[in-house]
Amino acid sequence: MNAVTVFCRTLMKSSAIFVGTAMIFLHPSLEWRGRALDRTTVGAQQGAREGAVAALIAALTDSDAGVRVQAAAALAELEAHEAVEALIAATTDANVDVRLHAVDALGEIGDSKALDALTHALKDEDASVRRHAAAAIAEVSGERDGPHPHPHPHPHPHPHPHPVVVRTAPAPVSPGERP
Amino acid sequence: MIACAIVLTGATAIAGPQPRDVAAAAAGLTSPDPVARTKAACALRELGHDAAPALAQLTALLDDGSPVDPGVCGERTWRFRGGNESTSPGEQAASAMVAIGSASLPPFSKALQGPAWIARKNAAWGLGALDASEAVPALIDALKDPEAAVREQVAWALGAIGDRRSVDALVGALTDAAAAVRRQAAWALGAIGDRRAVPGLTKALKDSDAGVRRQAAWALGAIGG
Repeated sequence: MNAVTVFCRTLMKSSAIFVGTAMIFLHPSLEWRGRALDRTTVGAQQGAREGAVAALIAALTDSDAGVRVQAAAALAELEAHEAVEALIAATTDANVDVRLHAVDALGEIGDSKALDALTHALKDEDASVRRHAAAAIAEVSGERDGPHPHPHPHPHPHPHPHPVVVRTAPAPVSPGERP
Repeated sequence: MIACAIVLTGATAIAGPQPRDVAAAAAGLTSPDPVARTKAACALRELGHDAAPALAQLTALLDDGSPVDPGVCGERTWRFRGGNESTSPGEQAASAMVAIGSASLPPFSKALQGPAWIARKNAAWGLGALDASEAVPALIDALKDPEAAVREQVAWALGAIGDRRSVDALVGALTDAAAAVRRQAAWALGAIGDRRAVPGLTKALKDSDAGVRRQAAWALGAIGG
């Protein structure tokens, strides 16, 4: 084996490594695959959200009032316009907490379709529902000046084990509670 | 004379608790009386990091589940669940270990894999309270603990730490045999806030247990759209 052959082989090897590396970084199909993956992920997330909203709408008629309360609050967090009809129905729930959260949610979602139901809620037998209905009407009507009628729930509970949702404490999550 | 006393008092305050105090407080940890053991652990917790010399003795107490009135440690001791829940020397020992700080991570990690489920539960709580992200892999394994009370505490710890590595395992725990574990897993997933949990939480809205459904609905709102 003479020196020329060795030189050529070395050159070919290093070229192969260089080209291979370049292909990994520059090959368009890889980039496309990445984009396709992104699209799939976005699609899946969209589908997941729609599934969650549909299930939360169904949970607005759960047999347990606490579940109905949480569902209304979650639909507000998700700003689920598709839940407006179901939330309107929830403004006449037998349970006062459910009515309160349904009214709040309609205010946060801010869909003018809810105005009739909110006006009706101004005559609710419970004073806090009436007060929240007035605030929600102001929000829906776009009068967002002045203090926000209810603080936005803070979903980050750490290190305290309770979900720190200002208005909507779910079933206490106890095992973290220690001295 | 007075000046000398002031200087001495000041020096003591700066030096903090002497080893003697720690030894005196730690002596009660081996008392035959569970109330005395609990009080000793509470006293050590008040010393915070300075209780570190008693770490081994506190660790030995982690499996002590003797029920004790939570009032024995004074007003600062409280628990939620309606307030009539008892505490135990093991819980208070874990609390003192958390007050000591990161030196407690190795003994907690070891106890998490130990034979006594009460110690495993208290260790899981301690790791969560210390925000021990290095313990996340071990905690994920502990979600398969044979004891439901341990799995429940582990799910809480993972939610408290808030590490996204635990999302898949917590989604798995949404179908745990014990409702308390499913509730805690749903809470933890809401606390972590990763969208990968949405399909699992959506299924949990149809759980047979109302508490699970409440937590799942809350979590879906906490994760957001």
